[in-house]
Amino acid sequence: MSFSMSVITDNWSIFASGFVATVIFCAISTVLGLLFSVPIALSQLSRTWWWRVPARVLVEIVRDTPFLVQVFVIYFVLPAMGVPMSSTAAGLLALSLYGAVYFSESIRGAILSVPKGQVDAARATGMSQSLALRKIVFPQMLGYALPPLGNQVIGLIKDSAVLSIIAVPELTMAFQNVLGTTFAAPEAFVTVAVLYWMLTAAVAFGMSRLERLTPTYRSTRQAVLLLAAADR
Amino acid sequence: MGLEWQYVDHALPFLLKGALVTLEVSSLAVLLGLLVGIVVTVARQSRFKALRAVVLAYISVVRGTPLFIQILIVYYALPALGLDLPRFESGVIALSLNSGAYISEMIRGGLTAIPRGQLDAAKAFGMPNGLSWRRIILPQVLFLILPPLTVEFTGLLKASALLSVIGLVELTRTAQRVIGETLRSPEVWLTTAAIYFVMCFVLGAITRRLEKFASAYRV
Amino acid sequence: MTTSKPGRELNEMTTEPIVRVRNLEKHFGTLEVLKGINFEVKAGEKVCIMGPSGSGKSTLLRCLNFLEEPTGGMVFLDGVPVGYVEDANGTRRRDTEGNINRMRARMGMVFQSFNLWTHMTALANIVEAPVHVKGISRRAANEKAIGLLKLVGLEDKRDAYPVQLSGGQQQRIAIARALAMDPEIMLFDEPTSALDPELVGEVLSVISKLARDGITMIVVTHDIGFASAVADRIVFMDQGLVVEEAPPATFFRQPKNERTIQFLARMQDRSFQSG
Repeated sequence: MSFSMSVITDNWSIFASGFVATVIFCAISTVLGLLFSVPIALSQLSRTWWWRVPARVLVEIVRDTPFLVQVFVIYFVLPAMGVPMSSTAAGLLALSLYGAVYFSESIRGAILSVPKGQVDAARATGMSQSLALRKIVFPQMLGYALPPLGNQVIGLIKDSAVLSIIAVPELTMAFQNVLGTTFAAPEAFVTVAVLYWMLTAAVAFGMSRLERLTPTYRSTRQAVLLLAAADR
Repeated sequence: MGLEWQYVDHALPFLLKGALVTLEVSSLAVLLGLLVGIVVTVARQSRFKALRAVVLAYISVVRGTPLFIQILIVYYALPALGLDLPRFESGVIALSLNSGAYISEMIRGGLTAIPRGQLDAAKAFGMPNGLSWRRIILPQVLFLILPPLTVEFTGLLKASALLSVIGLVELTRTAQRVIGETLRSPEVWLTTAAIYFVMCFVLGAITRRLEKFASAYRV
Repeated sequence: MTTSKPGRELNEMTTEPIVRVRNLEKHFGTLEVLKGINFEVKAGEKVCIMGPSGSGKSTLLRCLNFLEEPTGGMVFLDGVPVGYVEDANGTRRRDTEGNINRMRARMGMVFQSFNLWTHMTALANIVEAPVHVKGISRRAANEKAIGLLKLVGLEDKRDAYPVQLSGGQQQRIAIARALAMDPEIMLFDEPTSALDPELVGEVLSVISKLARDGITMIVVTHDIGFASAVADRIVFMDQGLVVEEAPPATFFRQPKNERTIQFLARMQDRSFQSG
């Protein structure tokens, strides 16, 4: 089995445009997903059931169905109900919704991980609930939320490959195109694998840099430095 | 809303048959994936650097690339290597190769959760390594990873939908066929989603029960 | 090849010690835990090893059945080196796994943290090694196991899982499990240190009973009362060396070494505070 770099270089523009499309798609979906994940998470923690229940139902539905089926539902059902849908729009909507739900689970878990005593202490000084949330819970929650969120963004990138099935012109679509024209499976696979791998590695790297900025990380680091100094 | 549900009645038996195939593929994939996971975990501790490197590369590739691409590769590329497999087998292999990498992580986690004293006691009684692995460590690991395994099984149920693309007639492909005949796309998709939902939701409840059960039996 | 006699039937003292330790050394990296231990245990003897934390007591015990590999010196079981094969010019190589396992099967060990196998019932724990290591038939092993359960007073717990048993019950099952192999010597590694105070007594009474039946044993313990009642000899260790060795009467009332005296004084204080 021979490996010819020419396959890769000849089709480079196809791969490149697919890669760029994937990056843009995932970036937009991640941003939209994060945006909507916060209300979904907070709703589930609300004391009123008409916030809590619909949010939980939405989460359960998205978590307990295949992403591909969600894509099909959005692409085929919404137009039947009068909402026009191009494949790109459907893909973006499906990926953002998917992201929003999974991100919301990470955020909800992170909020619940912040010890309740923190809020108690804040309220005891006279802070309102929303002030306490903003200044006490949120900064601490970030430290717990970033690691799982990072993994989920990587998962989102990998799941975006499914969008090729409704002909969204992203990287996996490019892969199938090249495969279809050249039948050079190893070359195509290696190229696409490397590209996806680079993307996920970049996200992982970015996440670890972000984690260093969180208050939780910095306070832990300060504590460790203090202890080390005390030992001397 | 303009949706007509009576067509669903006719379609339901076909969809449920497709769901059965989905369950079959996923069950086989999780069992095979468990085997792969065990092999991978053992290989990771091998003395041979080459074997360790191969295994780590395999895990990296599987975890860093989309499952969809892995499915396409197994189905389209394997014939080039001389292995011409039908769709079902091809799908099971792709899914289990993917699961295997994640399951080996579960096994490693399970191994660290077993107190070192269990192995100490086995050694103190003169049990050879192979025996203590088979009778002391492995049963405990399998028990410990039961909850994450059911989560993986649930994931496979959802991932199996991708096998429709290589033509395997599981639930999603069946839905597409039914739509091809009845042209009732929205109703069929909503019903299909509902069937997946029921399967996964029930599995989720089972997983929660298993987690409680497993934690009650830890010393 | 010496025949292994069930420990319980052996109550005469023979001249060849069952266990002999010669210049045993063990270091972990730069940390020296055992700095040259010499002692021996004869058939039917009950030896208690005592000493402050970090003195190397547990490491010594674990070297006896090669759970820890010594970095110097040698352990002998019935005159045969444990874990090593020494050839004519005195160089030694690590023995085969099979031989090491066979040696271990002739010594019974009871751990501080019991280490009962959690996925098996009490009965299954006891018969596991006899059936799979010694090849004894399951029926014979079961019969013997039930007898041992009666001995430790837990025959009604035969189908219980470790998670359902108290610490004292688990440790007694662990003792039965070790006895099921008919070992030549029983090694107890701080058998009661991990137990709640009210459960200590039931375990010590089982060990005392075994002592009265003539079983050769080495017990690493903190318990002065137990040691003075049961031991033929106390071996006191400090910082990796044997500091003093004497029968209980002499040891506790006329300690000779400075460090022994300090240790006993600290233990006295503690017993006054808790008593």
